[in-house]
Amino acid sequence: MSNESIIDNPISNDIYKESGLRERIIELARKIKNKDLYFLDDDSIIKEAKKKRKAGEFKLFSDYIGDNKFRILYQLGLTLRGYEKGDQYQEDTKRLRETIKKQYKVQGLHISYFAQNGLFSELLKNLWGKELTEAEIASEIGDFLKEIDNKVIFIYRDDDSKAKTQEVLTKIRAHSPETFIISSMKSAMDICKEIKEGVSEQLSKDYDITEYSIDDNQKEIKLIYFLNRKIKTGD
Amino acid sequence: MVQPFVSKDFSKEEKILLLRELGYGSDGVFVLKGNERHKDKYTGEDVKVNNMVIYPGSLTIVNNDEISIANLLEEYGDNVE
Repeated sequence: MSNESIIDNPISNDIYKESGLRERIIELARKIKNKDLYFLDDDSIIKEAKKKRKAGEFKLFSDYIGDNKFRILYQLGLTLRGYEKGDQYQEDTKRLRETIKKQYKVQGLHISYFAQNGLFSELLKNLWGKELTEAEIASEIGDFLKEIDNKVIFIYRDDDSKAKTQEVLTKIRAHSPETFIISSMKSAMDICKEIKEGVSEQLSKDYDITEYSIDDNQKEIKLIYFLNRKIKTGD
Repeated sequence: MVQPFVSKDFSKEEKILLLRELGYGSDGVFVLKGNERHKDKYTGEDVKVNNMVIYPGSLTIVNNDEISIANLLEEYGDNVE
């Protein structure tokens, strides 16, 4: 079979005999070429994506971050957050997380989690408290995202709290970040509390720990700990 | 602004005819450019006829999924209605 016949086989040329079809298709193609129209089967994904990009949170993030990849990952994180309330939460989030990881590796997935878990607004509040300029805040956020795997740990419900506590301690001791975040959702929050206790026992001299929680209908659904390195006074 | 043409009632055959008018083809499942499967420029995946978005300009044909749409909006953002 020739390549041309493979291409031509799926449809019969008889379809062109239908009244007006050829003219309608040609007109549609003309409008696409003329940049009047774009074509798609289902507009649900693009509608949701546009809604996320118009949201104040995305606009605020974009005020600080111009990097296209970070903005795409942030928008995908907001999409993941939107799926939390959907009927197919497990399926939708699992599928999208896997595709983000495949396309953008683990670091990219973690930047999306950063958005999904609402960490940007908390990080921003944290930075505002340090009296930095806008440019310094933008630089801090950009550096934070580039180094996200050394500065944030995401806790899952199946995690072993002792092993994760050790992982947090190792990362903090290796990189001495000014800010480190321990983040959890829903069924992972109890393990997150245990990890925070273990970390606090070891690092309370060097880090202040602040707890943030995010509620949905008065139910706590996200638990986040910010560890801020204490300023040495030289005493 | 580029307006959407949402083709819920389009048959696969009609989509293939449209692709032909735009200089592409199909093997019945995937979009073809010449003899090769056309790749989504954002993800590198083969684009399926039943799940494609055709965006004008330098004619971008990508899959209708979250990652490609996020990239499309990042590239063309303000022009997409």
